[in-house]
Amino acid sequence: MSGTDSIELLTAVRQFLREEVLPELDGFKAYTTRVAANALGIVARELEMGAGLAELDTRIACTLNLDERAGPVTQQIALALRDGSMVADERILSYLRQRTLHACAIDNPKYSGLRQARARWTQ
Amino acid sequence: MSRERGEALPFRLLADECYREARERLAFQCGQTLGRIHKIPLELLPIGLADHSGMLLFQRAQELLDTHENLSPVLQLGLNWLRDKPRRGPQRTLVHGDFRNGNLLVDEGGLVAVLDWELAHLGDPIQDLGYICANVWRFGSPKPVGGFGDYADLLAGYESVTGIAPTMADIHYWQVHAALSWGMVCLRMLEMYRNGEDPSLERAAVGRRLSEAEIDLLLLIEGESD
Repeated sequence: MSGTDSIELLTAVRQFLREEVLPELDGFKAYTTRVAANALGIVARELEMGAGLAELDTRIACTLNLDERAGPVTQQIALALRDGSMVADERILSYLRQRTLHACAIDNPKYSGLRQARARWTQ
Repeated sequence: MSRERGEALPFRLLADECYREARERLAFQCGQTLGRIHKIPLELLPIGLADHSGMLLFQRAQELLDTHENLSPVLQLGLNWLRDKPRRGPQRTLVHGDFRNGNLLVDEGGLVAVLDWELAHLGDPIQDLGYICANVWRFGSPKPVGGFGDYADLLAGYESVTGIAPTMADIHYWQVHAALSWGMVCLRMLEMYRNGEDPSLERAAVGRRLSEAEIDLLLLIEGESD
């Protein structure tokens, strides 16, 4: 790849929406434009941090002897919790906490629950 | 049916100076109003209200998670927690089902009207009390009841009308349920976007807020209410 990378492009479009477009709008269009700028922020953060989710999934798949080719690890665990073949022990809870922290940091880093969860679950 | 005046936008209610007094009264008034809603005799209710009482609540939630390909182990964990937790004897009343900051019409004196009854159903009345204390409906404010009030005022208002004093453990149980419900709303929005029912940016964006519900669920099931 050469030239402006994906994160730079997303950041530039986001800044354009916020600083050039948004001041011209009001009401529902202003609101939706803010939502659009936020959505681009999510994509940019996923490009930067998304690999961390896959790493967490691979690690827990290894620990629990799950085959990642059989479907998403999250779905395999959800189904096992559903039918009772797996109980949420400390290994699983710890994985779910770390994964959710990571996902929320991508999706909405300003969420109030994320601050609280970080304080509790990270040393 | 009547037309009422007031403000329903959460951020205005939580920030504007003109609602300062209203904010102080609102938690107690919400408790009173929920008490009045829950005391409506069942025989006066319209026929055909959905019944979410007892095990039906869990069955409906499980069906919804199954429909969405069981993509969230955290929502499943939350549902298991709710299903396995022993509860007090079942009550069955009208439940508003979406009683939160955003669906309350408020003026300078406090609560004027309750909006958005589309999710009204039969179920455990304490569900409404936990729901208005859900983190997602505090809009970032530290105040636990809707972002504007304290638990004690909500519970006192409720007891003043019903004579029933829910415990903090009851509230906590239904806060867990409210977090699960928010997660299920996110799944439903995602579905509406994907199947073309409402392919709007708004739906797509709410569908991505699932991890907020998951954070709240994990925090709630490991501890007591904050």
